[in-house]
Amino acid sequence: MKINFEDERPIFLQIAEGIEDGILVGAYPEDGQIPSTTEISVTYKINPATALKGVSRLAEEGILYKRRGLGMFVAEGAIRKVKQKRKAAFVDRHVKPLTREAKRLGLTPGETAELIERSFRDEEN
Amino acid sequence: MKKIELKNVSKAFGQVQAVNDVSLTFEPGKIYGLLGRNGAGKSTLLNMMTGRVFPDAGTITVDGESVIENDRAMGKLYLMGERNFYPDGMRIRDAFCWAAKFYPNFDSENANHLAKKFDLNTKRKVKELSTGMSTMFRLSVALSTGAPYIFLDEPVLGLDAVHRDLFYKLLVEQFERHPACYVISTHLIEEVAGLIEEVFIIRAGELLLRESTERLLARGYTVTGPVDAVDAFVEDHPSIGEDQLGGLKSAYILGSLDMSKVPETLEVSKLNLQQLFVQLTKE
Amino acid sequence: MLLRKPVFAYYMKLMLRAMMWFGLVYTAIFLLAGTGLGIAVNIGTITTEGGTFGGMDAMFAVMMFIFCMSDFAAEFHFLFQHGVSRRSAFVGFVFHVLVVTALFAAVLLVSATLFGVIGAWIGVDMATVLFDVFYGSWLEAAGTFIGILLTFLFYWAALFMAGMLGYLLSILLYRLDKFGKILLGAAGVVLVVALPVLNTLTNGRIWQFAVWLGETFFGRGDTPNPLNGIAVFAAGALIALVPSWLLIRRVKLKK
Repeated sequence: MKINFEDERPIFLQIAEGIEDGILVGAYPEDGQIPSTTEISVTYKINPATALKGVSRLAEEGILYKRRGLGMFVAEGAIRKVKQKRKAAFVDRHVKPLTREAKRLGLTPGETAELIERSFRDEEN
Repeated sequence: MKKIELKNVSKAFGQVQAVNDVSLTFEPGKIYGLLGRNGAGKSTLLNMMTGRVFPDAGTITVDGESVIENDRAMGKLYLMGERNFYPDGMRIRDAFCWAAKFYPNFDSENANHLAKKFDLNTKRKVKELSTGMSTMFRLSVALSTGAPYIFLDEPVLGLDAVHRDLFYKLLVEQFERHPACYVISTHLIEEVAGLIEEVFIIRAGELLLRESTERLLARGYTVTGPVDAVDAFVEDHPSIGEDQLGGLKSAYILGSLDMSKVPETLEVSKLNLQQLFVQLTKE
Repeated sequence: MLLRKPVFAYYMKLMLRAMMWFGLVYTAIFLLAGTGLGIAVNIGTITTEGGTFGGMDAMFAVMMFIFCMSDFAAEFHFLFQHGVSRRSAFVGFVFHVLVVTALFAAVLLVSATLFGVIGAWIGVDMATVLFDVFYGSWLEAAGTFIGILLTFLFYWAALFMAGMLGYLLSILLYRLDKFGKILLGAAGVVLVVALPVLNTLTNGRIWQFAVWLGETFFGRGDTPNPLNGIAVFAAGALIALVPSWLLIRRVKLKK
């Protein structure tokens, strides 16, 4: 669990995505509680205000909700929402850098697509 | 409005202008980073803010009152400096007792809790502690004073990686419990980059930069590529520093990044806080 | 808030610890030497028709001077670390010396009386103190209450002045650099060595002058009045206090 300061995403977004990852893999189930901002900020050694910003962002997007006096919980349908979000960002985040590198290496779109397909197959095994 | 305000503060030691016309503001509830190279004037600033050194010019106020020779104002501040001002023969637990007498909001339970976390035997004499243990003892005091403004000058001096890690965690916990104003001055910039909300960079006695960490990190990036391409890019986007390894050049730029303006031959990466600091303050 | 309780408490703790040791050792020496063996112990600095006990008051003054001359840096730095202004450190110090010297003036008074009683009982003159030497005749004429009061004030003022002189010296030593300290030390040595030499050369005129000074301070005539001495000591304390304050108010933190 580490913050990457060289990442172009600000820290609070990295926090938010860390929580989203947790939701996706089932570490934070729907209707379950997520760690408090204190726990998050202590673990990552970051300013609590930053942790709060990340959590608040997810709350605004409806991925988390607050239960008064108890803390933040994963909303129903959060998994679906996170997947949607990631899909929308998939092109900018992963596809564009991939095509940039592919171009640099002189790969054609066809060759690139084949490599992608092979990778899919390998992952399944 | 509760805050510490420095207005046009200057200080010279003989021929050396240690601080030159610096204006700063610190508010409670935030963690600040005061960064600068050795001799840049950070310690002088901290000493002036706590009434230890008198400025030649300018004013320093704590919640509206001048800090100079003012017990009430000085009582709101605590400076953990690099020097150990404890008398020979005083033991850690006595030091805690005295701190409680001078600082009415001192949390003795917390001090002992921190000492335990740092593996300090409170029966030991302060002057007999090693550098690292002395730092940890003074941190235990600093984090327990309950003062609204706490200054930590090189708070991890002599601490190994494990204890540094521990300190940052304890600091966050303490900050949540007691959201005072914390000002950290340190050379280990990357380790505190996530903790500090606002950055002040001091260079040669002057305030070079004052910005929120988030915005500052968003504004720094590196372009790497063939020398010509980099030079062409730098013409429109002035760099704060450059490095060259043969035909490969890197330029460090402070400004908003527009990926569409970056030619394909150039590789872009973000600058972290320490790299930004180095580029901004090196000769 | 001029006097800060923790500052006062801190100084008192230091001072009382030192004074306690001094008191114990000193009393032990005197009880042994003065009574048990009937040995004439003259630790006094003034040899007049004093008794075997003429030195206690002078010793107390010397000790007060020495304790107040202790390491200025250590205490000052400690107070600084705890957010104490220079002014509070100074006021706290002076006030605590006032309290301590009052305490010891009372101790001197009590022990003088005590030893007087013991002495009368054994038949050895144990209790002649400096005060008696100068003001003995006045004491006999004055009432008991006034006598006690003025004796107390006399010792209080004398000890306070001794303390303030020591404090001034400690601050001077803190503020002076190495060169200045050497100069100060040399001046002291020169004084101690040169004065007796000068005295011999001038056929005892230095000593005569000192005696003349002493008599002026303590009062002239057949029945000199202790108010004289009190005033002189109080003035002396003030004369030490003022430069002390001036040296402290903008003092820089030393390395």
